[in-house]
Amino acid sequence: MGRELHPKWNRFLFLSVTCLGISHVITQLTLLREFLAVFHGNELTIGIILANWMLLTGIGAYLGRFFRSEKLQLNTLLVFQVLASVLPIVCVYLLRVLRDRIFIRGELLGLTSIFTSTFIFLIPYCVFTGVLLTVACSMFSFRNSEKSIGTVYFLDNIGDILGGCLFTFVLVYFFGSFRVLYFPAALNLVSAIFLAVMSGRKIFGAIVLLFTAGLFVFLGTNDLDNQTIGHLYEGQDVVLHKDTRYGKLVVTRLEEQYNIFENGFLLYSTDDIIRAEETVHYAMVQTENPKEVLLISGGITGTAKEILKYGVQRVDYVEIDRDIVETGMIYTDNLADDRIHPISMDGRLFVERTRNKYDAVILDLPDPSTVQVNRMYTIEFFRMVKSVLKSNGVVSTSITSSENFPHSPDVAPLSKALYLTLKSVFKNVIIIPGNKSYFIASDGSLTFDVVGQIEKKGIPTEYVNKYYVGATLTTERIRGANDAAHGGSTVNHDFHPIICYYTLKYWLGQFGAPIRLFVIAAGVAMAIYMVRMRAVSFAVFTTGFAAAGLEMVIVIGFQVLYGYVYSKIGLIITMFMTGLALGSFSMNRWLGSRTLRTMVKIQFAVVALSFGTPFVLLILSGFTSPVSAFLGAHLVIPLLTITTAFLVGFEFPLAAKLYRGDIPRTAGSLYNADLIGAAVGAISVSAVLIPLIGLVYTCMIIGGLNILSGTFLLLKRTRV
Amino acid sequence: MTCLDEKDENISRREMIRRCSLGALGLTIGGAFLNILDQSGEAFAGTVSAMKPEVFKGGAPKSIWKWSKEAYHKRKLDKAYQCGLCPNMCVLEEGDRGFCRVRVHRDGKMYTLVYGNAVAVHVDPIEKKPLNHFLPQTGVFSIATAGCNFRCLNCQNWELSQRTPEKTALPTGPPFRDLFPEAVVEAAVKANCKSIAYTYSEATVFYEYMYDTSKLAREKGIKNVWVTNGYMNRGPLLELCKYLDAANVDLKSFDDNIYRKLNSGKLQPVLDTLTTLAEKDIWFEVTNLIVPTYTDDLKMIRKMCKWLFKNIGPDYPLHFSRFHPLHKLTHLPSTPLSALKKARETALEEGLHYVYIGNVPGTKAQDTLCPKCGKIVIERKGYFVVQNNLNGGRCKFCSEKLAGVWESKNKEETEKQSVVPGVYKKGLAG
Repeated sequence: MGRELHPKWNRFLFLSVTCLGISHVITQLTLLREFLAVFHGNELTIGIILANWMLLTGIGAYLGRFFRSEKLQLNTLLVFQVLASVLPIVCVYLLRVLRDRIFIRGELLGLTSIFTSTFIFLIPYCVFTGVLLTVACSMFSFRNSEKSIGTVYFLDNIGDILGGCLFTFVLVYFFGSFRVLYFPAALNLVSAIFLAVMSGRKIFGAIVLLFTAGLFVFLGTNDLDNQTIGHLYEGQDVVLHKDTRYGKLVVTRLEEQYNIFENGFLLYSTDDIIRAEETVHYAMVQTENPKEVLLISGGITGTAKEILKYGVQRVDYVEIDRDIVETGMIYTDNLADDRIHPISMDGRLFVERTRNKYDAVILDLPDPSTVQVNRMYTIEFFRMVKSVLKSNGVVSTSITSSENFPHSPDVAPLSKALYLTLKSVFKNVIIIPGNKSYFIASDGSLTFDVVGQIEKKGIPTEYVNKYYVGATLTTERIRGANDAAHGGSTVNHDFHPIICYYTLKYWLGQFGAPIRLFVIAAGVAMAIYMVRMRAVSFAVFTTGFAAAGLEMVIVIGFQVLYGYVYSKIGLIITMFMTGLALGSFSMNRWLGSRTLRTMVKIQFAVVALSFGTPFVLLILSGFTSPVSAFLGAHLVIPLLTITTAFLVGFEFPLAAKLYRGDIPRTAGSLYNADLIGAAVGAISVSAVLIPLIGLVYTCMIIGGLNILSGTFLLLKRTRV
Repeated sequence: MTCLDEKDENISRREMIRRCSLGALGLTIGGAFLNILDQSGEAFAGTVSAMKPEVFKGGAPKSIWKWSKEAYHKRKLDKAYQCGLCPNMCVLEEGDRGFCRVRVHRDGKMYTLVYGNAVAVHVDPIEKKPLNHFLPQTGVFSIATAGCNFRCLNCQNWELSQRTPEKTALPTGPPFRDLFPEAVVEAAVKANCKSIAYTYSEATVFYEYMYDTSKLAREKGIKNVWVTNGYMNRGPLLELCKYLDAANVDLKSFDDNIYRKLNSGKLQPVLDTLTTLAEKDIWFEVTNLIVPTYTDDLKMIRKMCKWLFKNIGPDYPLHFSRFHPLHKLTHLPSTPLSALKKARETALEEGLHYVYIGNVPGTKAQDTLCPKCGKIVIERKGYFVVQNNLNGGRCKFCSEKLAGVWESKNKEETEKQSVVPGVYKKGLAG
């Protein structure tokens, strides 16, 4: 190194890597949120985005090994750190502006589009930060011993923890996507300036300083959030957009009509008479003298008022997001009645906690394309619902169907699974075919003669009456819808969300994309990749797979058990990072005496954990009191998360030691193996394994994979 | 599984290859991205995902099956067939399947795959099609097979229209899936229906099935209704007109660019269908779906109405229909009622006589008003007529003749009153 370095150089390098870590996790969480709002939000999409993220960072880490000279490394660090500060902002900006330029406005996107576009959008940021990981390892190596890789890993994770905490507990509450990104941008720029000055590149430092000043003047005077959101809702007036604890909420106005979007997904519009009447009356006509009704979601569209036509005393209207209720109160008069009680709470949690008994429970939910929504389509949930129903009370829910072709192999599996699930809890289940299929269930008797009941009860309606429904709800159509729903074989469970899988399949089925080809290609690439790996890399790969896979299992388990909150997901991720940091820190301290034997032990500890996790979750699901739920959510799950991550973090520095290559090569390969493993784990576990074979077997597969890699390590040991 | 020793001598070459391939990957991706950016002007918006009509190369089934019949309206080329049914004009080589998914070239012949394979069979009120001026208050026996020559993003029957017949026919299906023409007519008679509708998906692509059934139905005094996107070539359409009694044609927008984007079709052939039907004196009604931010543009609606007035006259009813987010167009909200009302006002201003609003319960825009005296001739509620002031096809109050096919006691008595005044007919002749 030609130039003079500051005596405390290492500290600044530490700082720089930590800043990158902070920036990394905040950017990840923000971009994830943004992508979901712009594309289509479900587990598969999240999996794809995370997988792309790790894949690209992995590629970057691999490329980092080609940055060999010390001078090049320093320059790279400086330049990339500046880039890492602005790229996420540019990315969000382009994403919003280009979405409807690249794709058709209003169009639902398929797997291929989402994969390709998130891949392209993430290339700059992820590849650069991946390169930086390896480069930073090499830079430490010039001054440090074999611990350098472990140290960078540790520092990066410390940064991740700080970033995760910052995001989870501060930023998410106060700022939209753009403003959240200003914080890591500032951190990285300041860190780049310091580094430049300390390494004697004063001119570069001055340029970055000027750039920083200019950038923040620009950002301070331009509200990018407001300027760009309109691009995603062209032709509509955005009256409200807000990052709430549950997602991105956008309310638009079209003429007199208000439309509620959550995470880019159209929840519902006001003034949709057909929808409101179908949702309410098919269920309500089945009741006699109803007094109390529970309505889960959608009340602001007019369904709550529709229920009042039956002379009920009380409608408890539960909506998870307070802002949705407020929107309804400000812009519509659909909640303006003393008998309607809006409650801001997770629907499932409310059913679990309430002591009230209801004549009818009406669920007005989107299709269960996510585990989050699926929680209200499971046998466990319907059992809870039954316990809050009066005797012969009625529950209704709905799912997408094909009005003219209910036997379609695309939609029939949805109805079959839902029918079987409801039938496992209630004596009678009937399906009224409408724009969706409405499932009515009760232990009392039910009737298909909706129109007759409406007449008899004298309920004034616009649509559910003899003039419309009377003419279309023919015996033949009713028979078709009900026949199509018979013959299901799998009940939908919390931990085996089969309807989720069918809903994902339904979504994918709308696109001509060669899914099978895609899967096969990915499988072959994966097999080649795995076969070429060394035993140590393979172990790191399988541990990465286990880490991401188990994290998904835990997140999904958490959602099922305690409901979904953005900030809580952030908490889990933060806990995970903490575990990684603790693990790598511990290993770094005692690295000297550790051998392959320890590595084998770690592998089998991962196996034990994989097998244990589902049982912990199953046990937790047995305790539903508020205290045990609190303990579960705030103690058991975080502990489980930390333990998982600890093992991963514990293994990484040891793997680096055992790999026996030069530092850039080792760092590149191991980061690559870890990240690719995590990418594959994230996507296959969340999108395929859990929905298809359930949580327990998924964990068995994760464990099995690690038995394999542990065995390879053992074999290697006997040979060496 | 693993390689224990580094093969040092190979590293540089391998790395070279890796570097090169990664570089190539980067260039490709970069190029693709630049290409997308390049196309980001408004005129090109959505071009990346807009579909072009392409045949499924080698997509035909291995062998034909019980629902195959040699196709009508085809042209033998050197080694291929060109399908002449619709403006897509697919050229099918041996083993190819058309864009519609139901027409194939196999073993040297061209076949339809859906002859007699009705997968959706229902009895609907005729008003649901929608047809307000055609045998009101009668039931219509409605059938559909798989397949369509469009790719509408908001298709409400995509499970039928965007599927191959193999996929819709194989699973444990509904009881009607084997329904050859004789059986269709028989079932329609049994269900006491006055007409048969070829509907839900796109009947153009099951032309042979529709044509043969229509012919039989005509013999039995059952009328034939074609519910369509209007995307059929003039030749086959003229043939069909021999047996056709009514149609509802979707005029999805009055903008070729929107047609390409949302429907993967073109505007002009649909307009041609409207003029052909008028020329052949077939009763039809036009449906225009108002898709927010696409087809709710009042300037475009006015232009459309002017065209309708000029080319087919004011007497063919126009239905403005409410959009619901379906299939792939789910990130757009439903149409606000006022947008539909504004469209209707525009159409009335342009002189069209019968303008309705569909898919919205409770509006008064379902009633048929007398174009002369303005009184309510037919008052509707939902699919029901609650008041009928029509006397022999004339307004009870002022004796004005109302265009439509109003009664059908039996085939002799059917009183057809499609009023297309001479002045408009002249326009059509040219």
